[in-house]
Amino acid sequence: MSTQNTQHTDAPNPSATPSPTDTPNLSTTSSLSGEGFTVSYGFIAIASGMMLMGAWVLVTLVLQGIDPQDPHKSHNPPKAAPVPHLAAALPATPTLTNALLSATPGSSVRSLQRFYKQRAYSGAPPHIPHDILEHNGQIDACLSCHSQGGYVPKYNAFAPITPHPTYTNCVQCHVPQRTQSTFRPSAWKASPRPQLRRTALAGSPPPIPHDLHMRTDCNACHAGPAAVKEIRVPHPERSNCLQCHVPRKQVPPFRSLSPLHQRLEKNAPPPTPSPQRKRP
Amino acid sequence: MTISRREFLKNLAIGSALTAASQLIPGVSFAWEKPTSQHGSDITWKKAPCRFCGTGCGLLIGVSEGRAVAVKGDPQSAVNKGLLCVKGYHSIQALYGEDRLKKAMIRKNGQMVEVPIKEALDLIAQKIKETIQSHGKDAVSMYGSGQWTIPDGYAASKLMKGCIGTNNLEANARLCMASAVTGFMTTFGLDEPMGCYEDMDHADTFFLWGNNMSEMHPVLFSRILERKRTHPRTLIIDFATRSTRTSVAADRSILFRPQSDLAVANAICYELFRTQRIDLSFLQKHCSFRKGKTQIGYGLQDKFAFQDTPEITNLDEYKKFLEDYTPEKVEKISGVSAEDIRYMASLYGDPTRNVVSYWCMGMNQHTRGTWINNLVYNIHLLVGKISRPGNGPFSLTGQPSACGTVREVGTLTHKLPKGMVMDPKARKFASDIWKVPYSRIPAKPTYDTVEMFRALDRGDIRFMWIQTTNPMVTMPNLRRYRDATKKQGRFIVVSEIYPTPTTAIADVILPSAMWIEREGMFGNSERRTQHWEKMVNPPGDAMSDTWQIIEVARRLGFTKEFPWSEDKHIEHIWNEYTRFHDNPAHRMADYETLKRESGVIWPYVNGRSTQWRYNTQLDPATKRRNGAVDFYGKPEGKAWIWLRPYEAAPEEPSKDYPFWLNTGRVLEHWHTGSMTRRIPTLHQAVPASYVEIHPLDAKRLNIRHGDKVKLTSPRGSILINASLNQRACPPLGQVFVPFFDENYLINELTLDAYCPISRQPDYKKCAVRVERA
Repeated sequence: MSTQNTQHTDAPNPSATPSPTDTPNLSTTSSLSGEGFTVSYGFIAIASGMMLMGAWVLVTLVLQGIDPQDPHKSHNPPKAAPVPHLAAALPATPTLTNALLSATPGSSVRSLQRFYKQRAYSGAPPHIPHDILEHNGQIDACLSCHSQGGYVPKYNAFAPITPHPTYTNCVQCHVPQRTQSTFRPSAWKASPRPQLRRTALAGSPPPIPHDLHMRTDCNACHAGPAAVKEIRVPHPERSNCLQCHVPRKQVPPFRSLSPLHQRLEKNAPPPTPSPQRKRP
Repeated sequence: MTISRREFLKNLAIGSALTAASQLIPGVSFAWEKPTSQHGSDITWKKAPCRFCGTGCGLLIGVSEGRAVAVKGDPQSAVNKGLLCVKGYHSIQALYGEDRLKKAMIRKNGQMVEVPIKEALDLIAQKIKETIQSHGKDAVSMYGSGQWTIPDGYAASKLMKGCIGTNNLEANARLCMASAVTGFMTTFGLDEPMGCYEDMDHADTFFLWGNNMSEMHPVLFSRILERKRTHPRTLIIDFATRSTRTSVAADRSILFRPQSDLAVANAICYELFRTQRIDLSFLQKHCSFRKGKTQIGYGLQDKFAFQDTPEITNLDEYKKFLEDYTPEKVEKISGVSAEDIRYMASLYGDPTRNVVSYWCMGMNQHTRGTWINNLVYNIHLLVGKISRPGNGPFSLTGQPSACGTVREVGTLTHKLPKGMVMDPKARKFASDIWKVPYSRIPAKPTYDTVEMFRALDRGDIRFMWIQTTNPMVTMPNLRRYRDATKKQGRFIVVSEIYPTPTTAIADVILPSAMWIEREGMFGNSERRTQHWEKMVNPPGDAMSDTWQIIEVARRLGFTKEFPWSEDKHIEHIWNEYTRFHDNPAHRMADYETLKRESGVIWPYVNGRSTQWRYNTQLDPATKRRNGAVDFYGKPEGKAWIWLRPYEAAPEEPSKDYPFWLNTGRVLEHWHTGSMTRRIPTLHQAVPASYVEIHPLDAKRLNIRHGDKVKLTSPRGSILINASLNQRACPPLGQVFVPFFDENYLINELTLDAYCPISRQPDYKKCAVRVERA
């Protein structure tokens, strides 16, 4: 039972589908805990469930014009770049507007790798990857691009939207890079990045692996053309995010899981029936 | 079928189903697939105050597998409410520079050689004994820091003053906070601010006196910006000598000529009288008037002596004194238009406005630092806007425990944990708690910091132990004091975490445990004491500064005075130290409370923090409850309004040296950069120091952005890159250089003139020549 996670976040797997959490088929896992469950019925249910899910994934990929073999390759011909200020020109429902726009092929989409590289550790404020104009007479100039987002021709990219636009002294936490060197070598080691989509059950909504402080506008990072593909939400129109996604706290479970689940949690191998074991 | 068999098959089914599922749907993963530790989710979060500036932000440090791996702002902290600045977020990276000092080192035949730490501690004790024998107690000295934890400073004070019996104890807070202390003492009779950060949630007018708050206290500045966002009537007035990010964010930026803040403060008071905005009943009830000596000098000579003598005066004389400071006259001195002066006075005097004044190094590093502190208090006292929510003068600090350790423990030559060494009662009190002979604590202060290094140069001091500070970057007129340390017959011990220009001149280097590698407490600007526990192990032989002092003290024979065990010594020190402050005006929280809370403001009386001191409604230490306030630090409960004139700076731009040189910090680096430069994000943002020049000056001198520039003062010169129109811009005739970069030692150019009352040097004003190199 070596169900290794192919989605280890330090080396993101490009074959990740954008919308696996929407899996409509819940029968497999929900029936697992049933007490009246019989083996043969279970196998059938699982097998059919898997087939349905697999088919659904393939259909989704095809519908999105993504080659399952190479998700970067698109069957659709590249579209012309959208009007640069489309996002700004549309009525003021920025997150929804942005969510409706898809990333333009050819524009530099933020990768998860780059997203992490910009942060010293998960949760650290990212550095500024571009030049900033100091002494321009405005303290919150950053917000002219980063509050609403939109396409920036200079960088051929969509500006990421800040999840905390009320904080206006931006350079207090976000600083540019003037050099790649270090003053002295550092032995700093960041802890592993949080694993994405740690759903408790297949298809259940993934918990939130990060702190919510200053990050309560979920769509700022999880929707829209500037969002990192791997963390983009497939249903940005559902705005009450915390209804289904809850922060994953570092606390013991309220009630302990069944002995089976406990073993699985510990990644222990399933017990082999002992021939010496006496019947109760 | 047996149950176990059924279970086995069930497991098998689940296993294969999950394998199939995760291969089919790569995006989905399962909670039980891997032990959680592999994903960094076994992080435990522990509270600590930030290691850097005096704001004292509450941090939550994520620790995993014995290493600090992440930081977040502590939402429970009343200081920062979950927000940090870029230094705080990356602070833990300062632990992990590859060149961390892990072993003790001793200079043998000119070379630093690694030795077991016991050998180094033995040598230090032996050298102290030898020096005392050959040159007397007052040839031994200790130079600490506002980054010392409270137990560090307490152990140092007990060792030097109570055990060895010398007042040769100073701390680098002399270079940053001394004028604030003398300002408070001369006006109110007690040190430290009456208000707290919560003033920001009640005020609507913020005056920043020479304080680039958006870079130096960014988290507090963000609180002010938040106040402005939610309360549009809010005004921020940036009163400064150069144009910074703070000026850009402010509603009004008013520039003044260096040193002329003295004149402007008096002119504001003049205007308050002229426009009849004075709160006369407050003035009569709670204030009296004093004048001191004038033409008091600048402390440039060795063994400089000065003693101010307060002389009682009255309101009429004060009004007469102010007549020299009409806005029109002051406009000529300061370059601030009479209209701007009237505008500032109108805001201070507006009865519908709640006004707070903030300042830090601009007013403290000033050859009239005590005076300008007095003068800003005068303004608040005249309009009665003090000691109540949203109103008051507030002196910010630059180091995490300048207040907690240096000012409260009193690690300065004239101070004891409670009171001054000159006071027999204070000496008696200290000797009783320390259980040392009364006669051992000397009654006479010896050397302030600058004078201590001068004494080292002259040979009056032979031994110096430097902890948690980097004076070979920060001393003004640096060459003289660096040469002093290298003289024959001087023995310098340096406790450090990284190699610095100060370890370069050391005879013994002790590796120190830093911040969260040991237990400790800091005290921030708003009288808040914050405790943190040891979270990770220090590298190699590194040892906390407290424990280094205890080890040496025991080797000197003071085992009875330092009896504590290694695992409990911080708690024992805290319990002993707080006996000094066991009175309603200064009571500190107990150890358990400190461990529990994210910070506690003293006076902590009956389980409650006192946020606004002297306020008769809020401060349990007040006795005269018939008025709004009781300034119980002074006789009759009356604060002193001082008649302090404008006097010129000791060195002003001249024909040979036509520019003002101002020095200071940048947001990304803290002090001498020995920690922040080892943090990749911070170094990459500001990799090197530079000189800011006004673009028109630069044009005239044919200097472009990035060009090498030669700066020359009568004391030295450096080559440094020019910075034009970047984050800040000095006015015509002024240049600014950050001091964090040990490759550009700007303090070789600065002047070691100081305020004669506080003895704090002025790093903000000297004269230089600027040339294209």
